[in-house]
Amino acid sequence: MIRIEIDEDRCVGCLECVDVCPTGVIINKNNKPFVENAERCIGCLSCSYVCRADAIKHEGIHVEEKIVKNVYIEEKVERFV
Amino acid sequence: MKIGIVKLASCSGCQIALLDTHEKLLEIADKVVYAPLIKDARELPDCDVVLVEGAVRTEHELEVLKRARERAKKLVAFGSCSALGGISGMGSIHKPEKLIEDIYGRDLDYKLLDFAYPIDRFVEVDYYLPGCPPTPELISKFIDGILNGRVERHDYPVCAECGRLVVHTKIDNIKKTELPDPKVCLLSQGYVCLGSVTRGGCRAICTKAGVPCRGCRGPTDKVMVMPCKDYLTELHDRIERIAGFDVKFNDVASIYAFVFTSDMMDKLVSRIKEVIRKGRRGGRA
Repeated sequence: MIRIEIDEDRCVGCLECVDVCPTGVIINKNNKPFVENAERCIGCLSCSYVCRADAIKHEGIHVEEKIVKNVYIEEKVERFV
Repeated sequence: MKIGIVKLASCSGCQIALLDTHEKLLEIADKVVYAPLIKDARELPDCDVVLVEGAVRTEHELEVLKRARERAKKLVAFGSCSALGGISGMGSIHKPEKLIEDIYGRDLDYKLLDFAYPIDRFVEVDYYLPGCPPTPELISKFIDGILNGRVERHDYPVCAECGRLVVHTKIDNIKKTELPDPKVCLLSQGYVCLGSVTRGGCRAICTKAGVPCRGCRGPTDKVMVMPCKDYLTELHDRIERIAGFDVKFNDVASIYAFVFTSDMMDKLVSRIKEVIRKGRRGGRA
C-alpha cells in the first residue's frame, strides 16, 4: 500500500503534479494538489520528479533504489551541505 | 578543535560572511588558528577542519591547496567558487592571456591555469558548503554540525522556502526591469528565476525581497544526479507550462554563472561548453 504525503508548507501551487500523474491520484482541489485515492498509485514517481519544491513524499513503495547510478556523482552529491 | 581558513582565487566575501555570524563568532574565533583575513599567523598548522575559499586559478594556489589537504583532517569547500567554480569560474569564458592583457594592459611573466577550477578537481573534498556567500545561519549550523559529527543537508530547492504562489498566466516575453508582484511566483510573472533548480537552505532571501534567484547555491540533488536535467531544459519547461511562452534565452552565460567549471554539470544537454568555446573564439558568450 503506497501512501503519498504532500507538505503544504512547501507546496507552491504550480499543480504540475496534477498534470503529470498518469492515474489521476493527485487532483486539483481549490488550486491545491490533493491526494484522492492513493491505492491507484502505480509508483512511477513522476510527481516527485516534477515537483519543484520537493514537497511530495511516498511511503511503502516497492522500488526505492535507482537502477542506473553514476557512482562518482552520487558520492559527491552526498557531500553537498 | 582547530579551524584553518585558506584563501585562493576569491573575493574574501565568504570570510566576511563568517564574521557576520554574531554571537556564534565568539565561539568560532577561539578555534580559528589560521586565516589570512582574521588571524595573524604565518603558516597553516595541522588542523581538524580547513575551510578552502576560492577557485584554483594559478599554480601557486594549486600548491597551497595541496598543502592544505595534507594538513587537514577534513577539507571543506567553502563558498561557491571552491565548490562549483562560482564567480571566479566565469573567467574561464576567456583565454588566460586575454584576461591578463585586459587587466594589466601588457603581457606579464605570470602563468594562469587554463580554467578556474573548483578544488575537487585536484584534491578530495569532505564537505561542500556552496553559497555566494553562504548565509551566516548556514555557516553557524554547518560548524555546529561538524563539531557534533552530524551535518545537516539541504536537498530541497529554493522554492520550498520561498512562499510565493504560482499563478498560471500568459506572458509574451521575459521581464527584467519592472517591479514584481510580492506574492506571485517570479517565474509566472516572466522573470528568469533559478529558484526551482537551485539548492535551498538560504531561506530564499533574494526571492522574498523580489529579486530573482541567481542560483548561487548550485544545482539541487535532482539536477545533479539526473543526466537529462539541466538548468536550461528545466527552466524552459517550467516557464512554458506556467507562463505559456517559448523562451529563447539570450544570455545563457548568466544562467550558468555559478557552475561553469564544475564537472557535476558536465552533461550532454548543458550548453556550458558551447558558451566557453564561443567566448574563447572572441565572440559574445
